Amino acid sequence: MIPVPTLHIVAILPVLLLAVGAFAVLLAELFLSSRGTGKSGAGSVFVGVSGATLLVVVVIAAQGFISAGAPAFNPDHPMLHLDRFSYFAIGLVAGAALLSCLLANGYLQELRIHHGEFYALLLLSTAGMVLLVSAVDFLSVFLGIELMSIPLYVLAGFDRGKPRSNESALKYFIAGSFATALLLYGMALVYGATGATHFAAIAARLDPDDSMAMAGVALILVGFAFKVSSVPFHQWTPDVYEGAPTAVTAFMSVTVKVAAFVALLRILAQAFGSAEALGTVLALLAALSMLIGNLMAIIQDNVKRMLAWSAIAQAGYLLVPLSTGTPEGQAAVLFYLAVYVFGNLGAFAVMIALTHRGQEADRFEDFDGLAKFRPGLAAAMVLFMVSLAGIPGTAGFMGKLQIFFAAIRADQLPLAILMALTSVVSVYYYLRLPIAMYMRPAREHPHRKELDFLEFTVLATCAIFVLVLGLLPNTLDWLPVIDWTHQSAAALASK
Amino acid sequence: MVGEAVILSAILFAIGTVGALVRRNVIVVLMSIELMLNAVNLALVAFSRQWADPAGQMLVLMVIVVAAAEVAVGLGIVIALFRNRESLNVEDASLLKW
Amino acid sequence: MLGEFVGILLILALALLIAAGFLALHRVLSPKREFAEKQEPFECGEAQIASPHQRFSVKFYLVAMLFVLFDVEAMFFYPWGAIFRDLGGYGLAVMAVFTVPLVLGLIYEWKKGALEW
Repeated sequence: MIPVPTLHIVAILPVLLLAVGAFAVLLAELFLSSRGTGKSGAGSVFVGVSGATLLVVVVIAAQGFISAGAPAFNPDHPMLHLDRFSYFAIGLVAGAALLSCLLANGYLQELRIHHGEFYALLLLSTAGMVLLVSAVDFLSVFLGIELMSIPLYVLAGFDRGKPRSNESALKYFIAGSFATALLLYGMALVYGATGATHFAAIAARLDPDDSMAMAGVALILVGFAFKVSSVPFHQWTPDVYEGAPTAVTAFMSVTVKVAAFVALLRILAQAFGSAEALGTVLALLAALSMLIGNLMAIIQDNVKRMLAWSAIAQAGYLLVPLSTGTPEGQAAVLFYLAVYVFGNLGAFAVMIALTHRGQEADRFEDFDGLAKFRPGLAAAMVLFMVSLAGIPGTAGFMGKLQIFFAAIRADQLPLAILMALTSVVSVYYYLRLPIAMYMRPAREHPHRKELDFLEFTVLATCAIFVLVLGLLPNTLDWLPVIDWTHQSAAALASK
Repeated sequence: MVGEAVILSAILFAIGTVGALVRRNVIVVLMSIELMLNAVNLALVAFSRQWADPAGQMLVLMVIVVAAAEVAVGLGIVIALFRNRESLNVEDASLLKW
Repeated sequence: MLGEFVGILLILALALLIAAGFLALHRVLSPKREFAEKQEPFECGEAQIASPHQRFSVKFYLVAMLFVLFDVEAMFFYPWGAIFRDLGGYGLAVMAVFTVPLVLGLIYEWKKGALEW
């Protein structure tokens, strides 16, 4: 008889809840749609169930952060480690997923693709991200990455009657599964060199002079570089972002970045600590991403494409503190991820709020003179763009300041300067939208004229967070975000 | 024994990588990616034997199952594209310029 | 050790030889009088109306893919079955947890009509 291990269900509670929620939505889709209930009635069930599930996960994450972590599910073979670091990331991912799911309701109805599968896939993908950010073993890293990515491939092609959406899904699928294969081969080589898949055991046995181990480390890094869309592994990003339905682009552009960067932080800190050459490689990727991302964003004529190149540039900014490997740098990554989630999601939320009768508002012309018709939306868009550009007084500036100081203290002055210079370049393209909205002559737009309640909630949440993170990032007693990031980074070091 | 298996897996992986990068038919690209994953499985099994450790074989089981799920999704996407486009050539998927 | 297989090898070789021999005989002995109609594919004496290179229905691929998915999941049952008795009730409970999503998936595809031709 094999002894029954002691299991701590609390450690897999978020994943379990998300999976149950996903199946509940799927069954609701089956039974509500077939009985001829009005689509809008079924829609509110989908949003209600998935929103409630995600909200509970956010609360669990907050609770777990306060109580400073949970025990491993099976302490004999720990696969997931739920410390403050993972709970911070889970809260961020689930929060972003909650906002995306609220945004999707009106958008999917406008596009006439309002099916329950959207929410089920979104929840499953979020479950994968939760696995990924708390993984401490390459087995769970692999499962997390795949559970995160496979639903996203489907979501990118969710508007399946549109060739653009099909194409986006196909490109995402090919790039993504290619990256997974590279990542897996890297894991196999590291396993071959160390005989372990658990981070702590790898860290104890990894030899920086062993060429097979270093080849594995390099392949794992390339796999993650694909996922976070860092140059030179970024080619898929603009096509996928443009072709996917905007609600999907909003979701994946922020959550995948959070999950992949957080997992990379943990792998670098807990498994590959002895591979010092990695810092240089990451710094190179950061420099390339900042340069190429910002320069290519200038020449785009589609807002989603522009935001895709901007996402590549933002990945570059995030790689700067990652390459330092210091606790301060890790905290800066977490803070900037929070900033990025609300700024980017807000920008996509404005585009979603303008979508009408299957007509997306994703060209610059669509925003001409918008300030006259929709002053509130235009003002919100200015706030998000200004934050993404990192102009003083906004969340983006605070985030870049953290990165800047972390880089300087780690003797990465050239990178810090490059980031400041490329940020100045980025102001040019981020301000194109505000200029179009306020300076161009107004036209009759085919856009929706009213904002539904859920969209208003999302826009308001994003705007409030962008303002609070920019103006009072650490002064509010109940929202000391900078302290939280430092506590999370400390949890990463104590392991 | 383990050494030969690892070399074979490296060769298979290289063939798969080249195939995924240069071939233009979506189905062939899918097959190349499958080949890469199977090279991974071979390497994992060999290393698992070398270290007398079952973790590698567990990972192989996961890889096989997840790869099947991935390919099913990939073929589903290909069918959706084919219904709208009637072509399996990657270069015909060019509405979104690179 | 090798001796046991000699018989099988002989049978294999013999089978190949006979098959190849008959094919060769047919080639050599058969009369060859070719004319245009004879080169056409024969379809119950009717003129051909559709290309033989017809595509299968997409339904075929759908069912094949669904089969592969469930087939591969069965892989996890095998190691479990091998040590089923040692795992006892705990193993049964874990496998039940594994099976529930599979059954839900089956219900989903059934109700969606993916299994109907």
